[in-house]
Amino acid sequence: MNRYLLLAAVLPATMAGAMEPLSDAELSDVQGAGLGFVLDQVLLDGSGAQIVINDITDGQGRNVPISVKNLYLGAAGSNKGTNLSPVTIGSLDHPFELELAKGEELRTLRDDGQWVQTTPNNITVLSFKFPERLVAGGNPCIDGYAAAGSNCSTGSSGRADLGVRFDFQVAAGRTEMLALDFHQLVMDGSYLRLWGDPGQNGNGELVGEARINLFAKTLEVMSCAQVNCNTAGETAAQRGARTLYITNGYANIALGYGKSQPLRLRSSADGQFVLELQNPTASGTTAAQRQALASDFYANAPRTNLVFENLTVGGTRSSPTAIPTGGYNFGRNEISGLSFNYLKVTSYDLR
Amino acid sequence: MTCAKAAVVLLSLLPALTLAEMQALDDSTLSEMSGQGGVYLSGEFSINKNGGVLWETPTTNNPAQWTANQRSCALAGATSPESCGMRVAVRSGANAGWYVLDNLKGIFSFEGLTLDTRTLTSASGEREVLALGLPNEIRFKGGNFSFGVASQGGWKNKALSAANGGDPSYQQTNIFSAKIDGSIRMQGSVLVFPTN
Repeated sequence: MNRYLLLAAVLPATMAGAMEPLSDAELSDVQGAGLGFVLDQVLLDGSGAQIVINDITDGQGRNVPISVKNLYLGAAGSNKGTNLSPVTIGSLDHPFELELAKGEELRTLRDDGQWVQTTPNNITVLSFKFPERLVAGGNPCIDGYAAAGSNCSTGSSGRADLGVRFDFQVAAGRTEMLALDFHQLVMDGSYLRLWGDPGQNGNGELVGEARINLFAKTLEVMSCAQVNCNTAGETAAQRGARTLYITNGYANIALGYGKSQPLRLRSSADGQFVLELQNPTASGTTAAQRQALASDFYANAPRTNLVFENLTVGGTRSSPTAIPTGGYNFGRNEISGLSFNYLKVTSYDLR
Repeated sequence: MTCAKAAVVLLSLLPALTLAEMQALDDSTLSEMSGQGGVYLSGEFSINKNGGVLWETPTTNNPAQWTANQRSCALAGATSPESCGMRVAVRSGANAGWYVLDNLKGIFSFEGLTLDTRTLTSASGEREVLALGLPNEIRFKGGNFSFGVASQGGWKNKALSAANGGDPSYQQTNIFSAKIDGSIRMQGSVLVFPTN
């Protein structure tokens, strides 16, 4: 029996070198860490696939198939996907990130360059975010356009070309087309955060916050006005006449402010889709509480901005980044500081 | 006790016998080791290509003529019925409706999905990352899924009365569905690493 005791006494001594208990102080530094992702030298080309989006119906309940053509993602300079080369998006220091974090830990960059907390306390948030925007030492978000800010962590080599073309078969034998081509696209600072909330009726539901940042040197939207979209044999001028050109454009789209106006994206009990941004003062019961909620909302809730430095319809570009000549030049267009006080979108079944 | 003694003697002999073949690595030797090589994967997946077990494929596209265990997932206005794929329903709140990923089916295949580790240098020092190498090409054949919202997790035929196995109060709103055929070119790798 003594030998067994001896063996048992020896075991902990030999293990001691490998494992040590953590003190309370050390343990308190341990956080639920996340996973970082970097898209290393990626290229996506969907031109060899037939992708069709269905279940979108017209007024008579007939399916309107949308064919997805020319889907691509590659390095900037692809000439609308014709010359694709790989691009690296994100870096080890500023990756895409998927994490479970406390509401107190997440920060949002306010338009004045301050980091603010927008998520409520004492909740666990599932967060997916793009490479971060920085307060110091960043790169220009749009090359050669300082007004878009110079706080993007993505450098010039991380800017991507992204495009897709949708062919809508509106009726038998008639197709309409919409083509989108982003050049030098950066999406730094975009995020999606999801958490559970008691809900307006106390039943508990999934709520969230989303921010979509798009910085693009150019965006071209081409539509099709010809019969069957017959693009064979058309000239650059004819194609240009059907194109909307945006040069130096950026959008910061903010949906939801976790503390008082979370984005409610749900399916209703009768099987309809609902998207709702509640009145931020709805949870206040006294005038003073509502005042405090409103002050916090106007001071800290992220705003939606849409800025097009140049918007031209028609005409042609002399180089991939030049402002087009010819056509109708609408100059600078801007919507800034937009916030939603209330928004509710519900689907209805017409059949 | 003799039996125990014999066992102890046998146990103490065993390490001596195996010593010639295997040796324990100390910490410094172990730290010099790195995972070499990696994994190269090719595969083909087929999901509900010929329909699932829940529903049989009817002979018509008119829901009122289906029996209790029949369902067709053909598009609105289609002439012939189609078998249904897999259905996943998630409820995002108590007493709320359901998010549905419906009619998931098709074949997809890839060749050359690789998995290995790399050591990269960043501003904060060296870092070991997991590299998921994308296959050059992913091929789809009849790949399909629908995304929608529904009043119940399980599908019910609203055109049939409750007595016939249906549920007239059932509502499903498909937001969109997608169908993929052919190949998508995907190059590069996805690097995965822990952050804090």
